[in-house]
Amino acid sequence: MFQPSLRIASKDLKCRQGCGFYGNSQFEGLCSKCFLQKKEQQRRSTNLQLPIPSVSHKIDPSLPKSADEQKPTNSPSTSRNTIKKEHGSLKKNFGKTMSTIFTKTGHSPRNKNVDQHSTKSDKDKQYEIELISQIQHYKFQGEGQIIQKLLKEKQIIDKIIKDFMTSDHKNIDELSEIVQNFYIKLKQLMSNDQRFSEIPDSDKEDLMDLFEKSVMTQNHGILFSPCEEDERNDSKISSRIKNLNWITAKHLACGINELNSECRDLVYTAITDLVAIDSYLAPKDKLECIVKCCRNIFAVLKHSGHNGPASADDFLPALIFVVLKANPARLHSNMNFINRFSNASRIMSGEGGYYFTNLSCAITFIENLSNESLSLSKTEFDEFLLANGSINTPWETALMACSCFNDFSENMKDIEELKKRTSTNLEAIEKFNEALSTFNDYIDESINATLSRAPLSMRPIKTPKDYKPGLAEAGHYQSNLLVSFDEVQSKKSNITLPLASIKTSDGNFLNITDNLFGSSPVSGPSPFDDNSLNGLATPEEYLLNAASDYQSGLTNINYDFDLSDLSGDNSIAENIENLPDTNVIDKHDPFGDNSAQDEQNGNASILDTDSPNQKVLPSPLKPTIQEYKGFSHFDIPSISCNKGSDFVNHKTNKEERLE
Amino acid sequence: MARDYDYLFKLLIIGDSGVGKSSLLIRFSDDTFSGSYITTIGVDFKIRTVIINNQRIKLQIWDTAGQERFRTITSTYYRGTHGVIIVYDVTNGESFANVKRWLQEIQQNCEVVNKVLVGNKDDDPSRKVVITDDAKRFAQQMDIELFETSAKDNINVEEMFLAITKQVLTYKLQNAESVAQNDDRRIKLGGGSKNNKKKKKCC
Repeated sequence: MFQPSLRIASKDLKCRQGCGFYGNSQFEGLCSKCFLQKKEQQRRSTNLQLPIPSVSHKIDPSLPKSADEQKPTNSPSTSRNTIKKEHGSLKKNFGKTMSTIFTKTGHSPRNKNVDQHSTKSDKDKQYEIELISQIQHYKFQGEGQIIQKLLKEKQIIDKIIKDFMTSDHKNIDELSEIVQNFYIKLKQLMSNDQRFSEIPDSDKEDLMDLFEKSVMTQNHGILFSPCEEDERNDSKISSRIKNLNWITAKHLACGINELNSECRDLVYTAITDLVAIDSYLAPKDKLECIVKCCRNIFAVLKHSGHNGPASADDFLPALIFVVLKANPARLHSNMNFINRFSNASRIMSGEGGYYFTNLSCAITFIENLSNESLSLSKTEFDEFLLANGSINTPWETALMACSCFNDFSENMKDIEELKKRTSTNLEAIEKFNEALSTFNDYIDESINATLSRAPLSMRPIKTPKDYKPGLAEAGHYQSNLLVSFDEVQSKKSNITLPLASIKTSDGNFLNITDNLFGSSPVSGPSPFDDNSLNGLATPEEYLLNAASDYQSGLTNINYDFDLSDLSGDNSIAENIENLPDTNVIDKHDPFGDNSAQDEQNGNASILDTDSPNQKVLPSPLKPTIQEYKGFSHFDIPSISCNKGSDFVNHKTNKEERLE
Repeated sequence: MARDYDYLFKLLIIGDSGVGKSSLLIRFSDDTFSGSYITTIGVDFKIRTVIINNQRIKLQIWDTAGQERFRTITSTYYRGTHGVIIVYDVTNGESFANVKRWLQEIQQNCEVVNKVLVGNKDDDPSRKVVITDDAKRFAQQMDIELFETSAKDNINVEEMFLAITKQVLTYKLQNAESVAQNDDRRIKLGGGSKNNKKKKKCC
């Protein structure tokens, strides 16, 4: 766009059209005026290329006519006259392309006005086309005539409005009167004219609405807030509401439950509906916003848990509250616009009328609000007003409050969800507990059932002997055994065994169990078998001490292990054969004897404690003991014998085979 | 013109807060006592059609707020009103005392003369404080018809509404000619003064 240069000359910044104003790179180097003009020109030229709808031709003849009829007003202003002339000529030249006109136009303010007028007439066309398409939607009989008639009426009212607004003695109320009368006239025309005879009443009303909407949307620009007074009132009420933003639902004694989230949402919806009033153009649509807002307020009252029906006693304060919180833009202008140009019957009756009246009352109330109307003392009221001025702007506080409320309600939602989850979890836990207990019961039952079916019978236990508690106290090497023995004992007493039923003297009982255990064929050599320990003593010694004190026998143990003894080739094996038979051994069972002797001696343990190696004894010997035990009794001879016999047998077999 | 009614009357219910205005309204339009206002509001907005003298009359009844603080602003409600129902609570002496002020307000805001006085909540004699004789005397003095009603027990409600409707209808028929003239003039002139319009809408 611009030539790159180190220094920008002032002429580089000027509009490219050379109009003398500064240009802007955003506007393609043009000034804003030239840019807009260019845009408009482009748009126009593309529009003209499109085929003009047939309808516009129909109404075309009326256009120049109306322009011709237009007599110069009694306005002394010459500029206005020239504008009108321009306007008229523009309409005459409508068939010509706009571009030719624009090439002629320079940069005078007069031409700018012409430009505006020409765009308006373009817009008029758009509105007409819109209205036509809307009417065509109903598919009336002879709709062409109806459309033509309505369009003609529309042009008349448009012209009246425009003429009135451009005249000097404009009084908006007078115009309102004219428009209202026009509506009545049109309504009568509709009910009398044969062209409309086929249309049902409800559709006639719709047609009226469409007509009104079209006219009002088109002329919204000049009819909305036409006088300074309206604007002044708008800003007045707006700042008034801002000053009163500290008013709460309590001040107004309206039954809005601010803690109920549903209620709050409905209040927000009502506020949004009310704020939307400014964004619609037609009075009917604006009124519709008010109706929606008020319906939501009734919903709020319903949710606030009112006793009995929601009445105007509750409704009006709630509406005032909503208006105060909404602070709708251009409130007065909007209300006046509806009041002046909406079909009078609509605001005099029906739901819309009722709500509109209530809203008017609410606004009046706000305007005249005093300390008495809020049941506050004068000083309190003034303080509130003053305090409000010193804090942040209402908008900021509202925003802050909004976000806080949002956070608050969101947190509340989260908490509610968590609560739900917790309760479901608790339920699940309870269920699980129940299931667990039933399962426990089931297990117990099945155990009991199994037990009763197959009562526990005492299986032979490997630990065979019973011990005196004294041994354990003395720290005897058998204390290890004692622990397990005690356990066995306690189990024995717990479990009903056939053994337990044998009621004998204490010593006898022990002996019985002892014998049972000892003589049990299943009972194999155990690591702590006393026999094996005894076996450590050399056989000679063993034989010598067999009948003597066990303890003394132990002290005489030969710790010089000669494992060669286990080979079985020694004379010991032969000696063993000389040993008395098992019965004899049982009789001389050192354990059994010991216990008996301990009972007799009582202090035998003292001897034991003197032995330095007593504690080292059991563990290192384990493996040898096992092997040896078998040996010492009957294994060795049998093995050797077997081997021999086997060998012999084998030999003999071989020999037999050989033979 | 084919319409589902011959006349459309707008009635206003006024009276102190809590005298049972809404209850009367709901009893009349829905024939229930504790029904919610919202249920019918979207459909026809408290409109009920009655037939009097073979004329179908559509009644549209507007409820108003009765609180003291709204006293000064309710004038807007009176626009286009055909008849006014002034309600007091027979169990509340103050509400009866305030009737005078309400009557003054009507005078200030509207030229309507069609009105009835209604003593509501007349269902528990033990709680009644406004004696019927007193009320009657006052009504005669003010030249108003008096009804003692109970929205709760549905006593006299229908009668009261029909009475005010009849009153309005008679008034309307008497003034029909002048109104019609007014209308004609307005259409011919395509304008007219504001006063004319207001008068027409009011009565």
